[in-house]
Amino acid sequence: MKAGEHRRFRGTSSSHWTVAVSAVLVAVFVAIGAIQTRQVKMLDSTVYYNEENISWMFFQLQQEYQTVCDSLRQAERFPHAIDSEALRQRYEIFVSRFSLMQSMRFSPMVQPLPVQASTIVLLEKAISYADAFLSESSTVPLTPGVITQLLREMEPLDSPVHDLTLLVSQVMVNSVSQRNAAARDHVSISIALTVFQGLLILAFAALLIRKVGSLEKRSQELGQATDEILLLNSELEKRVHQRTAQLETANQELKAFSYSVSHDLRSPLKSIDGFSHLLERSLKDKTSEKENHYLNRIRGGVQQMGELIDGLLALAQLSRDTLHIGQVDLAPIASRIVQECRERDPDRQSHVRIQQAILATGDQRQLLVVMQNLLGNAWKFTSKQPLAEIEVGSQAGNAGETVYFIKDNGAGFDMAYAEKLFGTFQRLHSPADFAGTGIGLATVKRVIDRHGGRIWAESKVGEGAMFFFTLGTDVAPDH
Amino acid sequence: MLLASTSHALDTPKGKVILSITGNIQFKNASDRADFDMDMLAALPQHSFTTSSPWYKEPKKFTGPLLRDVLAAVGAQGTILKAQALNNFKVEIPLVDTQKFPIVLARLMDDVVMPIRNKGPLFIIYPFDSYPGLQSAQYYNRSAWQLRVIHIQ
Repeated sequence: MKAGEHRRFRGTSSSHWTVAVSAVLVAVFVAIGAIQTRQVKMLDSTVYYNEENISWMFFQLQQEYQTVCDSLRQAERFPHAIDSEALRQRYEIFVSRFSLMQSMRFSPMVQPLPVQASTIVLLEKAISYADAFLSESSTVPLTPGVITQLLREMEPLDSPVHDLTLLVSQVMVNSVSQRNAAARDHVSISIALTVFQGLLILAFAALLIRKVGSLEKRSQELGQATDEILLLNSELEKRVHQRTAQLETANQELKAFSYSVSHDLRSPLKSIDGFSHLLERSLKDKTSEKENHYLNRIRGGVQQMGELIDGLLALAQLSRDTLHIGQVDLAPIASRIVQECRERDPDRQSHVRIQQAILATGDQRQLLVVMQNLLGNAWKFTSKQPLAEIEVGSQAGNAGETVYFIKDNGAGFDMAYAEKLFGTFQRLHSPADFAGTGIGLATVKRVIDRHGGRIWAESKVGEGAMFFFTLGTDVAPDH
Repeated sequence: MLLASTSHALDTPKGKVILSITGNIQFKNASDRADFDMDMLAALPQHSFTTSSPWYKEPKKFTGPLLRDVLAAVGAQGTILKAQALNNFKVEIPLVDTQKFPIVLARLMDDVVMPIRNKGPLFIIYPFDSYPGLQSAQYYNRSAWQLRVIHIQ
């Protein structure tokens, strides 16, 4: 695993942990919320007025029952002091407690107890009897006999009412105990969840701290990397400057060298040519055929060497010359060159098509050299054709640039050697077939390069050749 | 706290006394207290509201004078009102409650006189539905029914 991938993996793993801890935290929050909601509901039902006061109401029922019975007993003992209104009021208060108890039958919390139902039946029976004498609206005189009879109806309820009150108290105590236990459990769970939540928050904080640390580290690493890149860049720039300077120096030396060599070579060459010519004249008719051949070979070699030197000088000169960029029409240049070729070889049959206006932007002198070389080659390599066909023109390239071309139906060349075509002293044909120095296309390429363009060729052996070149769009003179 | 009086003299009850106000009061119609019968309470400005309560399944309409008007009628001065029921059950109500809330001293429930067996004849009732904050045991406990005596402290 690469360092970057490892870091990415660590980053992803850390993100997964953060998401997981966040999810668990949310779950814990929800759980705590649910428990607290339940607690609130439980508390609500705990403090709910009706339920909370059930035992109190039963106590009051018993209390009022006792008070009524006591009042009746008092009336039985002191028949001459019976206060009917007070007695009836006490009775009504008692009945109001009973009504309240009856309303508790629909209580959602306390299920009616079996004892409750039977006691209620007993109470209802007693009340329905007593109402005729003790209700607020009753006008029946409360005589000692009536009082005794009422006591006989009411007193048997003493034990059931007492038992019911006790039972309800126990039920309520149990209920409250259960609620307390449940509340305790809830509180315990809440505490546990809160502790867990705290731990999760700590884990979350730890993850965040780690993440921030990792980010800071990465930021530092990035800073260091940037510094290193800047340092490398500055070193690279420095080296480029050094190399450029070295190259410029080497180039200057090379130019000086080639110029000096070319000039220095000319002098002995002229001597060889001159003296071999004199030798040829003075030995006229005295030399054998073989000796004549040797002399011709010497003069031919000297001539070729002269051409090579001229080519090298031209190449060196072109590399040195400053470009003077302007609008150039290649069509008249091509016509002039073709005219010269025809004058040189008046016996050759040729058909040359030159597009009417081949506009280009570049250095006129150097473009002349290009056309001389390319058209010269086309003329040369069609020399063995009965009718030389040559076409010069321009067309739009794929990128919209202008592509100039020179086509011929000459000897052509093998595309396998196309790369060697523009190298100095590279020749694809033997001097016996076609004369040449191997400097022409190298010179052309040098000019095209200086113009920011490119040159290429397409051909098949025996089927002619097509040379294409562009001149670039950002042509600028170099010095 | 002094509750402004709207009547200069207190009538004498002609019917059965259903409410006695004792303690720190300015206007009395008996030696040490102010007694009211049903007509006297009915003569005060009447107010009604319908509210749910813990004592009935359905909301009930309560009608009667505002407690603050009753207290004003006797020139009550103090901070605490002790309500005592027919069975001597007592509950304390801060007097400020009577200013904060339109507490009704109900004598009618659903436009009918309340008998003793149905928490009558008088019921101090808070407007529970109009003030949700009142829906708690604290205010339910202050709602004294079968009211008989009010003692001002």
